[in-house]
Amino acid sequence: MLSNKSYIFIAIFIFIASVASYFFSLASSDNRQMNVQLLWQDEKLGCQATFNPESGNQAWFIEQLQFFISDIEFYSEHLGWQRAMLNNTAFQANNTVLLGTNCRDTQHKNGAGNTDNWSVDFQSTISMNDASRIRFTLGVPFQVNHLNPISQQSPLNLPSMFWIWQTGHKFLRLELAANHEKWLFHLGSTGCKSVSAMRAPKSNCLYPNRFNFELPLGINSKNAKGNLAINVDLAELLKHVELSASSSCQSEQNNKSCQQLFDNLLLNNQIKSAETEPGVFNAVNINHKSKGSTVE
Amino acid sequence: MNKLLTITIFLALSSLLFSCDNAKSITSSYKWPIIEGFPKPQVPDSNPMTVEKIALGKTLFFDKNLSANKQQSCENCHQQKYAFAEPLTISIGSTGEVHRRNAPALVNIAYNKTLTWAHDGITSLERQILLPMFDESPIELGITGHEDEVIERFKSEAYQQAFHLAFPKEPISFELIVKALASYVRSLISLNSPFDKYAYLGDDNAISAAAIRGMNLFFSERLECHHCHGGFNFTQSTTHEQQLIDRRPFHNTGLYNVEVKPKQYGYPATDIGLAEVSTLAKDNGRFRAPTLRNISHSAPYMHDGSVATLAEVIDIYAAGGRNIESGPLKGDGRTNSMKSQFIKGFVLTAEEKKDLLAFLESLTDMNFLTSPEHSKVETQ
Repeated sequence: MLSNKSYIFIAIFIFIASVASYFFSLASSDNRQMNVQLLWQDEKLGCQATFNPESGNQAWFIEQLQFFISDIEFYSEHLGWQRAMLNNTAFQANNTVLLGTNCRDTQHKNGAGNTDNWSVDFQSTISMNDASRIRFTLGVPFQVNHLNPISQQSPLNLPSMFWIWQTGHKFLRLELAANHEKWLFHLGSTGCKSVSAMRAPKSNCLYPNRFNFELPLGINSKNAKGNLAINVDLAELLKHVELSASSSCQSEQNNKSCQQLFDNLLLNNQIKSAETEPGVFNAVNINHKSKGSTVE
Repeated sequence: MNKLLTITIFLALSSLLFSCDNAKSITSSYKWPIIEGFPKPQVPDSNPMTVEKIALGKTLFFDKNLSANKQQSCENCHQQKYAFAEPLTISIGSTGEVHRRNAPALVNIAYNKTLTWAHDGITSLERQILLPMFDESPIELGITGHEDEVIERFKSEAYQQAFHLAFPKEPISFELIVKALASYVRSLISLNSPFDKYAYLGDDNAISAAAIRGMNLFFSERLECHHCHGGFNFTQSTTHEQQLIDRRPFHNTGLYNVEVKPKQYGYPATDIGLAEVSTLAKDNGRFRAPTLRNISHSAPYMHDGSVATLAEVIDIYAAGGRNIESGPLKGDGRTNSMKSQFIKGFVLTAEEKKDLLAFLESLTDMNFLTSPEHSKVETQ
C-alpha cells in the first residue's frame, strides 16, 4: 500500500504528463504548409472570375478543378532529395493530396465538408528552409490508384474523383462552362488491362498519364516559416486547346485535345532551370508577389 | 489530508481529458447490415440507431393512423416490392391531392448526401420526414391542423410500450415519431445483389457474361453513366462516415426544353429542380441522381415518373436527351443549354443494350425486396 505522499506524487506526475502531451499535440499540429493558387496568366482565378481563352471570344468560368499530387520531394545541397511526408487529413492520404475546388459545392461552407483545398500540410519533420527545388507527381501512385475506393481514406474515397477499379482515379478533373458551351478534361490512366471494369490491373497501365514536375524554388524569398506556394496557370494548360463540348478530353490517346493537353503538361515535365520559364506549375514563395498575385 | 489527496487525484485524472480531445462522444452498438469493410452511414448524434427505434419506426411506417384522415401510411407511396417506391407516375396524397413528383425509392438513403429530388439543404432524414407528415402543399399525410388528434392515436398500450423501449422516459411526441421513422428508413440497406457478390466479394461467377459486358459499358467513357451514378451506391450524391469531403451533385439530363417565355427555354415551370431552391438560373432542371440499386423494380423513372421503362431511359440517354415533339411540354431536351456535359449521346447495338439491361438487373437485391425484416408488422 502506497503512502498518501506517493499518491500525490503519482497524481502530480499524471497531471504534468497530460498537460505536456496536450501542448505537444498543439505543437505537432503546427505543421508546415505549401499553398497553391490558381491563376489565369497574371490574374488570380476563382469560382467567381471568368477568363478568355485564346481561341473563341466568349468568357469561361470554372465549374470544377480538382487534382491529386503525390510523391512530393524537396532538394537541398546538403541533404539531396528528401521525401516530404504529408499529414493525414480530409484532403491527404497515402502521401497524396487533393487540391482544388468544386465551385458548385463552395456555397456549403458550413463547417465540415468544405470541398475547397488549396494547401498541402507537411509533417513537421520536413525542412523546406534550405530547399532549392521541389518535385512532385500529378496523379495517384499505381499502388494506390486501383484499390477498392470505399476502403480508402479520404480523399481517395471520393467517388467524383474515381473512374473505376480498372482505370483508377481521375488525377485531374477540370470542368469549364461558358454561357452556352461546356468543356471538360479528365486526366487519368488509360489502357489498363484487367478482366472487367470492377477488377484492378496487376501491372501498370499502358498509358499511366502521370506527369512529373520539378521546379526551382526562389532562393531569396523564403519567409520565416519557410512556407512556399505553387502557382497553377490554367492558361498554360489550355494553350492551343479549343474549348467546346465536342473537344472535351477524357485522356483518350487519339483525341486531338488530349494530345495538346498532354503536350502542355509535358512541356513542364522537363526539369525547369529558372523561375522565369512559364508553365502550368510554377513555384513561388508565399511572400513573393509572382505575376502580381499574392496567396491568401 | 485525505481531502487534499482526493482533489489532487481528481485534478490529475481530469487533466487526462486534455490528451484525448478527439474522442467520439456518441457510439452506437447497432450492427449495420453491410459488407465487411464498407463504411457505415453517417447518423446524427441526436438520433443514434437502436433496434428498438427501428422496430417502432417500422410499425409507424405501415400505420395509416399517421395520416390525419387515416387513409394513408408511408407505405402507400413506398412499397417494399417496388424498392420502397411505387408504380404510380406521380404520387397522390391522403386527401387525393396530386404530387408533382415520383415517389423516390428508399434504398440506402442512410447514405444519401441530400434528400428529396432537388434540394441541397435537406441533408437529414429527420428533416426530410417532416415534409410528407406536415406539408400542406401538396398534402401528403396531412397532419398539420390535426396534431392533437393524430398524436392521441399513438397512446395505445402497445405503442406506449414500444415508445418506452425506444425512448425510455420520454413522452410520446412527433419528434420521437420522426426519430423512429428515420431510424427505420435508415435501416433499409441493400448491399446484397449479385453485383455486390461480384464486385466486393470477388465471386467471378456471381453475374452473367452479359451483365459483365453491360457493366463494362456502364463504366465506360463512351456511355458516361458512372459520372452521375458512380460510387458503391450508384449515385455520386453519397456520403458515409469516412467521406469527409462534401459533395452535393445535381444534374440536368436534358429531359425537357420547353419555351417557358418567348425565346426562353428550360424545364417546365411546374418543376425547375434545384433552381427553385437556389434561385440560380444555372440550376434549372438539375435533379439529384438516384441510386440504381434495385432500379429494375422501381419504375417509372425520373423525378416526374415520365419514363416508363429502363429501356426507354437508355434510349433517352443514347439520344443525348429527350425530344418531345408535341403537346404542352414540346421542346428538344437534347439542346437544353443547362444540360450536363455527360449527357452527350452514344450509339448502342441491340445486343449492347441487352447487356446494359442485364447489368442493371444484377443490381437487384431480392432479399431487400422480400425480407420480412423490412415488411409490415401485422399485429399492433
